[in-house]
Amino acid sequence: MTTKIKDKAVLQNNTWDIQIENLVAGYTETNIIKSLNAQIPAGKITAILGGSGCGKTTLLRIILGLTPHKSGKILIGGNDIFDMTSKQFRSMRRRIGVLFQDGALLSSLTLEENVALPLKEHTKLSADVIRKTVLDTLDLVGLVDAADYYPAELSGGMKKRAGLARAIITEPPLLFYDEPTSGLDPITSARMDQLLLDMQSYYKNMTTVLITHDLTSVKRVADHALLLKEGKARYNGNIDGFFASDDPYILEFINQQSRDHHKINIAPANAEVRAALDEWLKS
Amino acid sequence: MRKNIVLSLIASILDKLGSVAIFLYDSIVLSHHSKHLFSKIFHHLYVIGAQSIFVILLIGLFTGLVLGLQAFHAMSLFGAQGMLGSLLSLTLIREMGPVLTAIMVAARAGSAMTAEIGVMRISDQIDALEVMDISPMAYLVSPRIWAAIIAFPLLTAIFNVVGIFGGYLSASVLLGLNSGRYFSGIESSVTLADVNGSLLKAFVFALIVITICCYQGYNVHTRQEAKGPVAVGNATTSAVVMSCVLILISDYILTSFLL
Repeated sequence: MTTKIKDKAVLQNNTWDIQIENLVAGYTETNIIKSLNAQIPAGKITAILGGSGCGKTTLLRIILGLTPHKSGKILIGGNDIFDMTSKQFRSMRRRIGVLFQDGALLSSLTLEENVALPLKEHTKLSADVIRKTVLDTLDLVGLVDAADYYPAELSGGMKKRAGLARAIITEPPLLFYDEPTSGLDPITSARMDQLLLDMQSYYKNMTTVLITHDLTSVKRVADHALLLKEGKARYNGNIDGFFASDDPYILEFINQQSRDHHKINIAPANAEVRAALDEWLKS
Repeated sequence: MRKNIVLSLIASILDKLGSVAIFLYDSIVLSHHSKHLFSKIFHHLYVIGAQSIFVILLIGLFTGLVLGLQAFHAMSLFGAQGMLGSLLSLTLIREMGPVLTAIMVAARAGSAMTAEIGVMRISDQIDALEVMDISPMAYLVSPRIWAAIIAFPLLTAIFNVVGIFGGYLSASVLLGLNSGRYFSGIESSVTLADVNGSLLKAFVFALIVITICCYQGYNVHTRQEAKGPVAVGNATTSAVVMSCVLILISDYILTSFLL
């Protein structure tokens, strides 16, 4: 995949930092996020890390207004999103791009129609201008030849890149990636990371937030890290500090993660199961 | 104890109906948020209307044929075959046309609608729409409601005409009833009020079927008994069953006012 990135400083706004203060949230009476305090700096790539169920995706959904919170504040560019009117919140959210885990492309639309959707719904641009912009954006993510395909005809990596094209077509100053490399092979994963870096250099000052388990990817792209543990921030600082940390949990997290990449754990079948399987195999 | 159970059941049914009514209200009020609304309505008009025509023709024809056959033999006992045209046309126009059309569209287009919207919900597509500041109600539900409001009365009218033709085939062509008596019976008994009543029922059923089907798909993630694809399957079944039950209940209520 080749990405054609030109140096284009489209975003001059430096205020797209995120400040989280005493955030509490949960789907039931049990809280998933417990008094979380953290800062995501503007114009940088921040990786939000943590074990399964620690509240990473819940945090993203709260920022996007898809899940309610219980208490606390989230300030984006200094404005508390929970104090905003519905109109103000929608206006702010228009400036946010999101790449969902599986791309979340509309299955009834082709790739080109999917990427064109925000422009078609929100602008009065002519069909020709929209088409050219869409094809340019698809070219950026290396999918211009797949413009007429439906999402069901695409591989996992292609869906993620298509989702990215849709997220960036409105040139948002704040971009969220939810598990951009999960389920991808190492080569596609590395390409996705490169694409992410290319985006960051193409759209100057874009604040990028990466939710991931993939430490290899984090090492390659992130400037800043936020590690969540049991709904609280265990680490919030620059990436070098994260990998150099002597915090036992961070060390365990880093080492366990890297061990998990190579560990194969085959549970031996018990005699009864083995006998049943043998009988089935012989039949 | 038993009183409490009954009361909580009634409260839960009223709660559900209230949610569905708010859903319908929102989808109509938010219509103006939908860009290119007319092209979306035309698309869904094709899906709900044009793609249902074949099944409506088939069901309409056979309903007319069977009604003609049964009514002819029943009325022969009293020597009243001349009234067959009246009986058949009034039965079709007042009751069977709107009810069977609505049930067939609920089974064909409504179930597909629930499944499509449900899959969109569980695969984050509806969240993606919201994040793109595209109202999912305006994008997904409003055009379907407007398209159904147009399509249901048209499909009902087609059903009625084809049903009457089926009755003619059965009673006149196959069983030998004088075609003049058959059609004059229709002409003398069917009034404009009957046709208006039929179209009014089709309009109400359109609102019921599409609202229930879209509501079930849209709220598939809130189902307690299952999640994911199983929830979509259950929602689809619920949508069709609830639509059919509500069609019959509202048919009784409407008929009692129209008669």
